[in-house]
Amino acid sequence: MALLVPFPRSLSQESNYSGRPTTTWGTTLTASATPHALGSKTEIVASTDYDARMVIVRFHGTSASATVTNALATLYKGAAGAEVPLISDMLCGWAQIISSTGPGIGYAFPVRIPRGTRLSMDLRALIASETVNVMLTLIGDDPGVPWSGAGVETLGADTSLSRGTQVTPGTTAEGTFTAIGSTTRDWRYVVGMQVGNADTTQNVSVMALDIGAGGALIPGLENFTFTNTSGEIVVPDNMDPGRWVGIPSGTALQARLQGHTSDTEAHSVILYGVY
Amino acid sequence: MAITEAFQASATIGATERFLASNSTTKTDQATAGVYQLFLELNNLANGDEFRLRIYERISSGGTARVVASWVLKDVQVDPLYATPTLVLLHGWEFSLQKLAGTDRAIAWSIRKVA
Repeated sequence: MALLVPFPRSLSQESNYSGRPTTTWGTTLTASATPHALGSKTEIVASTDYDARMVIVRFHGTSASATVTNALATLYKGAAGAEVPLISDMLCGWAQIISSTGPGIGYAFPVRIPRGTRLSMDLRALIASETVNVMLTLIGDDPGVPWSGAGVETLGADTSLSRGTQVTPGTTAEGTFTAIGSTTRDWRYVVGMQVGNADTTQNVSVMALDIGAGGALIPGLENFTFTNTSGEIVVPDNMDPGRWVGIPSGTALQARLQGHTSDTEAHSVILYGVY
Repeated sequence: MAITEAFQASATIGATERFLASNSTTKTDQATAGVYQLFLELNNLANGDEFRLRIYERISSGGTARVVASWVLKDVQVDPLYATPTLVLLHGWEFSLQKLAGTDRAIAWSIRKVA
């Protein structure tokens, strides 16, 4: 008897943007008029249509020449007034302008979001009443990913300054490992982000982020790559959004940076783990 | 080949790991061989709750029980009955639940066996 294997189905997808592109494509989040305080939550999806196994979040529109634009955005699930964080403190400042410089800062997390879920987001930022545009895509059914998790843990966020942990890069040698935080869950998928400069004049550099523990590199978590431009823009390598590497609960994670040119200014780092 | 329910119970699960075949916070490795599948009734979970499910087994009868697999069950479950993969368990196995965040919840379980 022949073995019948069904061919892959097309994936269910839903997003908060459609139709003709706009310069603010997606949903616009607004931070508080008080720097670093949270703005009001904004609904992104009233009720998801499908069980999702992957969420893609893209931020654009925060960068400005000669300006520090530190900002953090959080994705929530749940009814209005009863939201719980799903993905906390995504670095979203220093993001390209979609109509002129590029598509922005992207994240991809293999996390389960059941059908019928309400999704919302809020924003905190250095700049009073800062805005960021967020484009959200949920991918469901059988995306071919080996595993999808229940939640995302964030390490290294400094919500008082709307940024991550400051890490100073090395140049001809790797920078020194800086403590980011200890995991409280078993991570299966790891995202490393470097977004943000210490001042208004960002050095042009290709920046490589490594993640380690105990002063040693964790295999598979080397060279998350970013382009830091002179227009105070940070461009992650969106073709390499995360790594399938297991990190046990209780691991004290560290990060180091190395730039292709001389750059002694600290940059902002946050690590995310899907569990 | 018989299909039976080897263990069935319920308990309020908190921050102390609870072992399901043992129905206790004290672990007793099970040595009855079989093909097992665990079902959990998760209808009581609310947003903000996180529970960790673990499967333990020994590689040999004299070995140490170690984790085979673990999952985090988080927030309201749209499909409130959860089923693990089916595993061949032999030497010293057990399932456990432990709350990681949120509120203690009453959870019922059924461990089903083939053979």
